[in-house]
Amino acid sequence: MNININNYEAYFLDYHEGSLSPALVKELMEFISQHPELKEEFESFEQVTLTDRENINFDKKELLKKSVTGINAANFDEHAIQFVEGTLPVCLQNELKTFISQNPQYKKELELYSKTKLVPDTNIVFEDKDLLKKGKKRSVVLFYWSAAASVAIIIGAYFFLNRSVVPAPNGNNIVKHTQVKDSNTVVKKIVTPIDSNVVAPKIAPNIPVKNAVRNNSVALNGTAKKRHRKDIAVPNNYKDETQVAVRSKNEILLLPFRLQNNISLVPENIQTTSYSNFQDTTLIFAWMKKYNSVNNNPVNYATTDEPKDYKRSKFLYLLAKYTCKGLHKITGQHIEFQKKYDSDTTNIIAYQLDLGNKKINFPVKE
Amino acid sequence: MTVEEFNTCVDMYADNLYRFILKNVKDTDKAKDIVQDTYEKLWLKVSDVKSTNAKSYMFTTAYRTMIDKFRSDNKQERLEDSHLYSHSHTKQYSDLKELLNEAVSKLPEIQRSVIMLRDYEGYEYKEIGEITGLHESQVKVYIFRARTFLKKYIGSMEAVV
Repeated sequence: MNININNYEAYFLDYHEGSLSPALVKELMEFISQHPELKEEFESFEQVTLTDRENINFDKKELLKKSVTGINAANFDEHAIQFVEGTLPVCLQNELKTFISQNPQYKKELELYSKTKLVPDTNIVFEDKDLLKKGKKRSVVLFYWSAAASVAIIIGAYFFLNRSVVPAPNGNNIVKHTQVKDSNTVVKKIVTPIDSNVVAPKIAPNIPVKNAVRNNSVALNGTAKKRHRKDIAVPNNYKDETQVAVRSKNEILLLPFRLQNNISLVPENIQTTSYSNFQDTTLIFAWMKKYNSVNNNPVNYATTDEPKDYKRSKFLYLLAKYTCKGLHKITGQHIEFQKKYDSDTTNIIAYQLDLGNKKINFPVKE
Repeated sequence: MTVEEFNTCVDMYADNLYRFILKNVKDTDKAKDIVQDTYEKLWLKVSDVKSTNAKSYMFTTAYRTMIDKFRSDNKQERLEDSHLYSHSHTKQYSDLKELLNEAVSKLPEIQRSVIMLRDYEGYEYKEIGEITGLHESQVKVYIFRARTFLKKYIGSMEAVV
């Protein structure tokens, strides 16, 4: 064995530099196994390699360079613009200075080029930045005012929609909830004020309502009082109502309509129950609206499904809905107003204000 | 890009963008429209555009929107060679800034755009090329021509004053 305690460092170095033959590598490994106290020294050789030589650079090379062509009158503009642009190499900057010192007439030229550097006018600003922003960064004040306004509108609409009908003092204007049953029709709701002067129209017992509907060309509308089209037979089971019952302030709104039509027909064979809330008013309104059409009459109405959304509630609902839509546009916040239906009866059971992370329900009174 | 980063972009770049567009279109309403359009387009791509690239994206979008507007309005200006030297000497300028603004307004649209992107926003030639759709060497040529024109314009005005 050539490797011994006096020359092993040379073999360690050769091994780490990769210049040791395979035979000598084998011999070196045997030597290390025989001298385990040298193993640590052998491994430490790996850590002495210098690797940062690439990071040490001479950064003044540009100063040492010389231009190939030199700066002259022919290429002065090019170099002057590069100087203004900040792209002229350092060596050429020195040459440029030298050239100008030797040719003072170019000093003015260089000054003019320097003046072409544009400076932004900071007085020009885009003032409507808030319009560009999205989401939470909107104006907090605007958002809270909008939210407060929307809640106020929704609550106002809720109370307006759900207020009770005020009964008339004489007791004759009690609203009745009636049901008409016929073999050919489903159960329908009709509401009418009870009045002793009103004679309920009769539905001939032998004529199913369905047939009556088929003959529904009864001219029951018209502004002229009790004027029916003569060429169309008016069944005996109808009679015009001439008395208008005003049961609440709200119904005053309906008065012109009722007076204009001057009609309130009540099917006979009616079971009446006391009923008094806003739905009655809207039912009356919807019912009377039906009368405004030549092609509609009480029988027709009685054989069709009652409308789910009535004019007033629909108007207020749409008002709230579009208010929320507008607020959503302004604030960027999720605000939605919507109806909630009963899955069985499809009746509206509540109005819901959806604020994204929070939903507020306004139940409709039964 | 998050909503917060988008809003930060509004604070950081809306003024720069508005300034750049206004100097080109010379109409505040049109400039505002283009800025708003640009941010709306950015908002549509908010999930795709990184905040680090937002500025370049907006300048690119705004520049192209502006060019489309120029074309639709038939206001694309082409500077004739004679235009370079046909300076009006009737106007009095209070300072260099005003004189320079006047000179810049006389530049062809493309030269005006590249020199503003260079001086106002400090973009490299390559970045300006990406925004305007030009090759880097073309950008250098336009900047060279623009500075030459501005220098001659200022020089001639100073000689008059």
